Amino acid sequence: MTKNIKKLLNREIPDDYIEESTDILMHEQQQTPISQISVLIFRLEEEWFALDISALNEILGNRPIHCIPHRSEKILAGLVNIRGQLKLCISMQHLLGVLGAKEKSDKNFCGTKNPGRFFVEMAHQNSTWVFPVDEIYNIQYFDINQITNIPDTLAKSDSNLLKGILKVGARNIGYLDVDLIFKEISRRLQ
Amino acid sequence: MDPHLLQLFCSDLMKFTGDLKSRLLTFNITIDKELITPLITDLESIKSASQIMNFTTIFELCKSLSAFFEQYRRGQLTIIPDQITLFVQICDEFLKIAEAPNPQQEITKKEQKLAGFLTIVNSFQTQKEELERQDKREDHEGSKVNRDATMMNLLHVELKTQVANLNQSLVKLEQNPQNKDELYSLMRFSHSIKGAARVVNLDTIVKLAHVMEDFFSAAQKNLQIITEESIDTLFLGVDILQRLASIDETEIDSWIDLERDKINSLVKRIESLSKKIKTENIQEKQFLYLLKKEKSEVIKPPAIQPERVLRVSAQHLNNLMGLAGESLVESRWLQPFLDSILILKKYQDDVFSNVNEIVETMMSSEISPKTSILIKELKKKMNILGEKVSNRLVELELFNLRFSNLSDKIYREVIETRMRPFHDVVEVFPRMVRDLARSLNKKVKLEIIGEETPVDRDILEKLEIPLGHLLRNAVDHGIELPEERAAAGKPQIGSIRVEAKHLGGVLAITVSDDGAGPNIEKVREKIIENKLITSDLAARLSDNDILDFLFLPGFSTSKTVSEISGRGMGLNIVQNMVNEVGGSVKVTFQQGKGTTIQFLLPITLSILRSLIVQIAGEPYAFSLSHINKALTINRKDIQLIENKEYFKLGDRNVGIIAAHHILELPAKTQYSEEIPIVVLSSLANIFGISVDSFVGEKELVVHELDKRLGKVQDVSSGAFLEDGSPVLILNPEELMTSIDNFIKGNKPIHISSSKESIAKKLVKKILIADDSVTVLELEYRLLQNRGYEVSTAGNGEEALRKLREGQYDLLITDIDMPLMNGIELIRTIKKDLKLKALPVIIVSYKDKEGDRESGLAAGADVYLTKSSFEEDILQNTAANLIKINEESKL
Repeated sequence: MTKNIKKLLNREIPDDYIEESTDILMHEQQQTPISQISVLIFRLEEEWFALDISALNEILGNRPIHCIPHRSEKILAGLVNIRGQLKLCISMQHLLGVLGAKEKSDKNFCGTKNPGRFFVEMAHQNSTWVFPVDEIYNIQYFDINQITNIPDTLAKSDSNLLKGILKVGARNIGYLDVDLIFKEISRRLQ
Repeated sequence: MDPHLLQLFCSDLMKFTGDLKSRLLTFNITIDKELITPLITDLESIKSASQIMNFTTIFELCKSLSAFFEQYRRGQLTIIPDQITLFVQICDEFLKIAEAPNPQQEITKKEQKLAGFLTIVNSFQTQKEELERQDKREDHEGSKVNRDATMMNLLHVELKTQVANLNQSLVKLEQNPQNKDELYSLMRFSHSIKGAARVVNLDTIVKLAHVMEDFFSAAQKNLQIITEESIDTLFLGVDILQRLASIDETEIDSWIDLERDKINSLVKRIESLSKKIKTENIQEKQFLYLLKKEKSEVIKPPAIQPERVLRVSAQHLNNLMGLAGESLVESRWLQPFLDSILILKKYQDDVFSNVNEIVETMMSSEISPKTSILIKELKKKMNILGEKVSNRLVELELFNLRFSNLSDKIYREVIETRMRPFHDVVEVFPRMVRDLARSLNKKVKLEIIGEETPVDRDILEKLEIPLGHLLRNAVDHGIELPEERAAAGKPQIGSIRVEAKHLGGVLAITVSDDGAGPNIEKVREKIIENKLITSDLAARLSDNDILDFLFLPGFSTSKTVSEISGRGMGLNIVQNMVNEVGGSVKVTFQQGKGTTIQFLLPITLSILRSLIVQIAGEPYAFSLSHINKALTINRKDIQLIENKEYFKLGDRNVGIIAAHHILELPAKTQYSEEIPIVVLSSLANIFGISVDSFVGEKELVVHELDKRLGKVQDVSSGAFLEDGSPVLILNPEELMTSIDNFIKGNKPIHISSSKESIAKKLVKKILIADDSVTVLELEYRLLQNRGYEVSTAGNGEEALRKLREGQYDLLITDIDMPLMNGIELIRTIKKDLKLKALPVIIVSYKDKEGDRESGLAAGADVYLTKSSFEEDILQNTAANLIKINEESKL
């Protein structure tokens, strides 16, 4: 009996099996390049957005924003205390144009209003910006194939800062293009 | 051979070898690079002693060993334990020689053995050298363009430090040529430069550093007489190194090519200074050695270990400061938490006493045995609970105490890291004063006291230029020529003292000289001549009041503007610096006996005593030193004139402006009878700024604002309150200007003032940037005579700041300036949306075509040279440019 078992386990490997396995191994390796993204999903006003995790530094609780005198740029929300440093706070709401209606576009972030909000610090190429968000949903994985393209009407407009659209249930989530966003912020603050 | 000398040599050999051996033995455990330096020193001592005695083998052996360790120290070699064992063996041989009854014989006996050691030690190195040669070859092929950037950076750092050291020690050496310690240091400094230059293959510089080192080493052995001429020559060498340190790495090769002949001839000059040694005979050497020997036995100065200094990036320090600040804020959270638990504890005690009462009443009636047991049980548990909670509370309270103490200490310590010794700013002055005095044929001794006084980095930076001006003034105008001094019965050598010390929470810096002092009557005349005040009033003013006029811009008593100082701008620069940091300055003098200028400055700029107020519902801070008064007035006391509100403060009418108007913030709607007002005043104006409320007086730790924000009008920096919320610190000087503009711009009240404001607008404003006060003064006068409003800046950075803060119609700038040069300044301006239309004139000493091109390429409109400088050219060009620019705007 043991002899037979030994024989069975030690038998020659058939050639085609070796070939097949090598094939599978080779194939798998070819497939591995980043097919998944993980993103932070958050809400600004009524719309949802996704920020690539690699650009996320920190999520912090609510804290007062101090507004900046003489500055009328809408996308400049003010200054906040992040880990004991004075950091510039950006209004992604204004940058992404989610405020829509005229009366809302005057939204002012100063003080401790909107008690439920969070702060997100994002980083890209040695530069960081902080912005308030209204709600944090979660961090989620997506297959790269799940990103659908944005409608051409939006893609061709100057203000497009999205890489694509992600879907969670029936919800559409704008997948942010971090590079474009950082460029746009510096451009608008010049 | 002289037996006495031989005896001395043996005792030397014994001592140093013993030292050497014990150091080597510690290497068996761990090889510490810091131990290498004393080790090399030991070897060098044996080496020089054996050279004098003509013991060639020992000499060669020591030389090889010392070279070996030198390479190790630079990280070019590794040491294996076998090598150490060999070195210890060599030491043993040396010791045997030293102990032998007839050392000379012993050496001859061991000649073979020692030569064997020499070959082995050399072999350690030859391997190395081959590698090095190979490296060099490879380096050379690709090096011209592709030099390792980090290495170059290190060379720069090394050069900067060592040049400063060289300058300082040379000045000291000149005063006391016998000072062996200085010579030794000088030797070390040049040696370090040599090493650094060799790493990046700058052969010319290696040679220069080498001959300097040779000179010092010869001088140290008393083989060299130090004369003023030799010091001058050496200073020339230091100057070359200094220039090298300021050159951009990409331009180093071309610069050296350009200067090669100059450097080489200097190398020859320094060499010829030290030639003499080689011709001197051994006899004399031995005699000198003997002499030195005896001397060195008498005085042995204790070696002072300087504190180790690390380079830390500013970003790290800022992060550290932020975290320390946050930990302080976090630690403060504990106290209220503790208080709330104390309240709970009280509540618990209440509950317990209630329960006890109920139990008492129950006990008075009949109860079952079971209840009785339960009650007993309950009481026991309540006691334990009460006790435990109390104990825990005490522990928490102690923890809170420890933690907040610790956070406080960390915070203070981090802030301390911003402090540097006063030495850092004054190290350049001895050289400057020496050169200046020599060029004026004066004899001046500069004394610096309190070099260790810690000063905030930011203040330190601001001190250099004003102190430089004061010292130049003192040498040029203060100290008299030696003959005059002798005639006045004073010592021929004038003395200038710079003293820094902490005085009751402020930094006091005193610059005093024993020269003739300013001529008060001349100043008085000048004041009247310039129609600053009436002669009547001038006669009544005290001498010290008169001196204050020296601080006005453009005020100068000297008729000629010399290269060294024109006085006009110098004192004004001092005054501006003092105002900027919120300090004060005082001049006192005694006719014929000297002048004393004392500044009182805050010790640090990173902590600001301030008044916190609410404006538009948010906290803002005013620096206490800039506030005239803070008070609350009743609405009734506000009066109206032509629609402007004002109130009476003493006998002055003070206009009121709401803070949120100036800062362009939304108004706070609340109405109250009492209005809090902060009064700001300058020489000319006084204003009351109304705020929402006063919060209180606090010490704030100043944080810079994010650079990406650009300049924020009226705000100088930010900080955090105790609860961690941000607060902005207002800049009172800018506020005053803003208020002024606000009043003028908003509503012209009556006709005369509106005319005035139009006239004001027509006056064109010009900014001149130049690091030479003389040029500033000259250009200032030329342009002011043409009716322009002229401001000045001493360097590019200052100029940029001023340009961003104010409205200018023209910039005139030099190219070579500290901090930020003219080209960089222009490039930055041209990138700035708001400033890019500003016309720029370069006025520079550089008159090569290449300089002109690079200036114009950076974006300058006109390039003028100082050498072809004629009055009308500058003014006409300025007028033209302003006109063209004005038209293009329309």
